[in-house]
Amino acid sequence: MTIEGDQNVPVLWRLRDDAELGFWFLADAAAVDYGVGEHLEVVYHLYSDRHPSWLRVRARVDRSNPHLPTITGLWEGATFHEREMYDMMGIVFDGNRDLRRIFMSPDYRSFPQRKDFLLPDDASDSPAAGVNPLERPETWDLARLEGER
Amino acid sequence: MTTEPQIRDPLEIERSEEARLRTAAGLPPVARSGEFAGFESVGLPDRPPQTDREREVYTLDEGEMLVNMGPQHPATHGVMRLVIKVRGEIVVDIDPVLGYLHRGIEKLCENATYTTVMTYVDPMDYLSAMHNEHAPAIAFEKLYGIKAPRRAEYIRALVVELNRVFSHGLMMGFQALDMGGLTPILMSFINRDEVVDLLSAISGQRMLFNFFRVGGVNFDVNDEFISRLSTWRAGVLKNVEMNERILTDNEIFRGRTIGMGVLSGKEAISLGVTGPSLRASGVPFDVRKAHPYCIYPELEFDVITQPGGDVYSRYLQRVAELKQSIHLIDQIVDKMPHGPVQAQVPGIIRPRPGRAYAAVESPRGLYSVYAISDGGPNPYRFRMRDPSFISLQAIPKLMPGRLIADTMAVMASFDPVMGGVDK
Amino acid sequence: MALEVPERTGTGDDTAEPRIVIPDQADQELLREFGMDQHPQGGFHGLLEVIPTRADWILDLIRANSLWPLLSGLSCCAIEMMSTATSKNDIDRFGMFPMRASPRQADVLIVAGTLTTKMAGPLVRLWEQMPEPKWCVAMGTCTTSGGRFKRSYSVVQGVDRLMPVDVYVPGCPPRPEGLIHGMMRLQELVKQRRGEWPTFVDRGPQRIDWEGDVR
Repeated sequence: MTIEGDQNVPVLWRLRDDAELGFWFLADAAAVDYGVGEHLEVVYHLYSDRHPSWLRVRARVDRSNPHLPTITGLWEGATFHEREMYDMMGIVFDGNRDLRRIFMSPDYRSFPQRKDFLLPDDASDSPAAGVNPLERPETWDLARLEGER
Repeated sequence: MTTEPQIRDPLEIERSEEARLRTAAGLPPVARSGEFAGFESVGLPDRPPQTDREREVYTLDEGEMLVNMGPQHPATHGVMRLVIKVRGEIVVDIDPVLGYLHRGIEKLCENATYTTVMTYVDPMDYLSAMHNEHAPAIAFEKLYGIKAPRRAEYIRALVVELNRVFSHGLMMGFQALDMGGLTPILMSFINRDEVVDLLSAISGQRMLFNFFRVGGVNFDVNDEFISRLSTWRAGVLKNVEMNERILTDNEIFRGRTIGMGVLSGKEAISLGVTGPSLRASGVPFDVRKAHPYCIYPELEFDVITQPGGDVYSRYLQRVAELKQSIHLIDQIVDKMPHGPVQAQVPGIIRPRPGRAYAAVESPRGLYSVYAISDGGPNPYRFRMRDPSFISLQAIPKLMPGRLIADTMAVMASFDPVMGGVDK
Repeated sequence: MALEVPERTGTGDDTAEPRIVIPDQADQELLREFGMDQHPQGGFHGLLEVIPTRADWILDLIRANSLWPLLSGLSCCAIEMMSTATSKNDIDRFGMFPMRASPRQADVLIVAGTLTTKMAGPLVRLWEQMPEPKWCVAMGTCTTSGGRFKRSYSVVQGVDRLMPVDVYVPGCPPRPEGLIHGMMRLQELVKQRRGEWPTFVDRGPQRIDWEGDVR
């Protein structure tokens, strides 16, 4: 099911607490980036004993304003999910008491899983290329090595 | 005869010494209660706190101190940093800092073909690599619209249960190792070496098996392997029981683990803890029964739970599941049909655009994959939900009030593997 | 009576035995022939050259047979390192059982597992804290060159970007026998004083010069 971003808390609340729906378990909260001009999406997967399959709840988020209310009030275990989504995709969850980067360093400035973050095609294009002495034959001269040491 | 100097209160000495040091450093002589301690005490450059929770953890009251259990510590779960706020020896709060093993696997998988993804997901939860591959295999088969042949499904279940056997065996060893006992880990590694010999006979690799394929498995199992398996099976219970005899009725082990780190069922569900840790709190949620996949509907087994939610229950739960896995292996070997082990699938598969979600029961909990395909040779989005990652949120909830040494015991009971936590 | 050593012929003779060259035991002429004479060879240069005496030789032997590794297991290779340390492949036979948790007491830093940019800082700090003489073993392909995470944005492409490595043990993960082979080669290096880090010279507290961004 697909919903608008700011509706995620009431919808999930209803899904969790309703007697006959009863989706008591949040299995996964993921973020998807649909491309540079497109929207972002947060996808929740829920489980209920009464239904045979997992329920997928997709919440649209605008790229220009990637804010979404937090669901840590419903499931505390969503804290780490939301931190990861913030770290990797840049989606800000309002109300999350602990929205810091979880995988990258705190001063990292980019969002790695966005589609406009490109991996280097060749590792030697990276900024630290050439630091490896095996890639720099001009350093193999022993006399100059001694001076460096 | 000299007169003894009047013995002063040691705390007073400490405070005056602290006041002297603080004045020398330019700080006010007495730390105001509730002052934000900053990050220098844990070796980070000074910066303002970013979030409420950070401010809460790094603000020190009277008599509190920040201790850094750094990324390299002998507790063998990998590289994780725990910033522990202690008062004396009692833990007041914990802040786990993750990301020291973040390899960017999700992003790498977006640039890899569906078969190459199997090699990228292996080193996530490296102690249960078969489960890591099982979930993507199921998800990609759903995307592509095929089912693996029956013999392949049986082989998959066989290797998955073998993996579970040695993973739970290792947990027994690590639990003891984190509390200082050095013998059970040796028995666990003997057990692991035997199982891994079997698994390397099938897949060619000792730990990061590149065994699952979209549409089946890579290699077949022959009769010689089955006879090796039965030889192993005859000896494995003895090995596990040896370990159990050291631990289960051990006074020290019981005294250190019973009543420790109690997690109630409701709390566990709210925190997202799954797997043996959840079942040890009494909640009978097992993905193999709740949302059956592979051939589990045809196997007979019950969902085991334990009443108390403490460290001892989690240990007992894992031992019981280990034995259950051995019974499952017996059933699988009895029922294995003949047939092909891989469906006819092209080398680079291009499934139709769609979305698939697949969840398996890994030794640490619910391991799931959410894959989106756009019709091309690479997955558009490949997301893995790792159970250890979510289970770590229970640590700051369970630890306040306990001693530092119990931190490691409780952490070991959740059996996190940092490769999965940091992806 | 002198022992007659058959002369090796360098001509392309089909019946001649293929020559197996072990680089660390080869002389300059052989190395030049294979184009490997410009590679950095360990050892001492100039002022640091000392003539090993008998006592030094015994000390080297003792050092080689009791290399204490630092428990620096980062990832999957750590499990194989632990497997090497336990009963079936016992590294205690070589004297390496005490895996010290503190860098101040360790000799060898076995970097086992993927090194990420976030972990690079703490790892270099560990290396700096280890007292000399010290050696470094890069275990697994992730520490040799980035391994299967070659294009990743957060994996350091080889630990030799940060510290001098003595032995590279390839494999993903290397079998315990492979690691033991690597440690035995390290023992040879120790006995012959051919490590990468200039050892046996006390130069006070060290600071390694490395770039902050080591992607």
